[in-house]
Parts: sequence; C-alpha cells; structure tokens
Amino acid sequence: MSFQEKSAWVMCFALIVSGAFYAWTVLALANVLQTVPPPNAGGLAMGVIIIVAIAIFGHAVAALGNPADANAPEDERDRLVVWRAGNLSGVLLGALCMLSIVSYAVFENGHLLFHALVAGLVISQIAEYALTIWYYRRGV
Amino acid sequence: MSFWEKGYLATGLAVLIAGAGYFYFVWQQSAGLEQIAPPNWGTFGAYLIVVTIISAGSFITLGSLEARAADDPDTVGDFDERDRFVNMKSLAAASYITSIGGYLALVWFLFHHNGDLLFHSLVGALMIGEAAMCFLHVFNYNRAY
Repeated sequence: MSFQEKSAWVMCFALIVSGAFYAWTVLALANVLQTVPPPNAGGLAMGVIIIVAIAIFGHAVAALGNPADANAPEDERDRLVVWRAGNLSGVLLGALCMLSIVSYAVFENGHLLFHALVAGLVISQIAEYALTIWYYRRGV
Repeated sequence: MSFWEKGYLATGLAVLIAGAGYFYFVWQQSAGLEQIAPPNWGTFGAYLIVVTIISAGSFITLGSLEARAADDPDTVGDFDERDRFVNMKSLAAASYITSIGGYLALVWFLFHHNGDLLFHSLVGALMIGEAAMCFLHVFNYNRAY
C-alpha cells in the first residue's frame, strides 16, 4: 500500500469520526430543544481538533513504516487518482449544496441550512478519500 | 483555440455576468427592505435559465461554426484523452474552490446568524466555483496540461 493510499485511509477515518461526533452533538441538542439547534461552534471546533489530531498521528505512523515512500513526490498515477476522485466528489458537493438550497426553500430555516451544508462538505470530502482508495485498488 | 476552450470561456463569462445580475437584484431588494433580502426564487431561477441558455447556445453555435470550417465535421466536439485530463483536473480544483467558499460561508454565519445571508453566500460560493471551473479549463488548455 502506497503512502498516498494510507494517507487517504487516515483522512477518511478522521472525517468519519469527526463527522459522527458533530452529528451526535447536533442530534443530542435537537432532542433536548425539540427543534433544529443553532450551530454548535464548540462542537465544530472539537471536530476540527479531532481531524487534526488523527491526521497528525495517522500520517506519522504511516510515514514511520516507510519514510522513503512518504518523502517521494507524487507520480503520474497518483495525480490521476487525485484528479479523478476530486472530480467526482466535486460533482457530489455541487449536488449536496443544491439540495441544501432546496431545503432552505422548503423549511426556511437558517440553522437547518447550516447543518445541511456542513453535512454536504463532510460527505463530499469523505467521498473524495473513499474514491481515492477505490481508484488505487481498482486502477484508473 | 479549441471548440471546448471557446465553449468554457463563453460559459464562464455567462456565469460571471448572470451572477453579477443576480447579486445586483439582491442588493436592490435589500436596499429597499433595509435588511438582507430573503431568497427570491424568480431571480435565482432566472440566473439558472440565463446561464443554461448562454452555455448551451454558445456550445451549439460554436459547434456548428467549427463544423462548417472543419475538413471532417464529425470530429468537432470529440472528447479525447487530453480533454479528459483537462476536465478532471479543472473540476477537481474547482471543487476545492467551492469547498473553501462553503467553509467561509459557514464561518461567517457563526457571526451573523442570518439564514438569508447564508443562502446568498452559498449561492455566491457555487457561482465562483462554477466560473472557476470554466476558467480553469481555459487555463489548463493553454498551459498545455
């Protein structure tokens, strides 16, 4: 497994953990308030800290396994995989943003638009790393 | 300049012009209401229709003009390996630009707490991402990938 693929696994895991944590805080607050809660800045900051911590630890472990591979520049195949995954996740991001806009048209709730946009950004980012792993394994 | 390059240039300009028109209307409405105007679906729909018509119209017009001038009209609009690379690279970079716009809109919302302003910020981020995608196509074609 190349360093780029390991890096994609680490980021995918970090985003899933962080996204699940933020979703859990929002859902717990929604249960208490019985309405769509306002943005949770503390929860968002915690989510970012989780991503950074997992990314640093994960990349350090991955690099320790094979330092030469970690320092190697991206080759042609790596670039193609990144472009292809970024291309498809960009389409997904656009679709999720449009869905968020439609949700605002239906519910006219700014807090819901905020949470929908956070979800869209996190899901498209997870999709990008998942597609990167997929293309490394399946080939481009 | 290739057929695709001209088409993306026209679409990018259409997004910028229609986007400027959209935000001019929002600004006018906001000035009238003395607060951020709520989403106007007529204006948003008009923006989408104008961009679609200009984009489709320019690709059709350019395609027919290129076909008249070309020795083999069937090859006009072919999407070869280089086009595929340029398309992937441009879309991938544009998705990062859209993401940055989305994150900035989210952070700004934490300060103003106005759903209408978040809506307009998100629409703006999508417009900038779309225009960036078109101009990145032109840039990557000229940079000779």
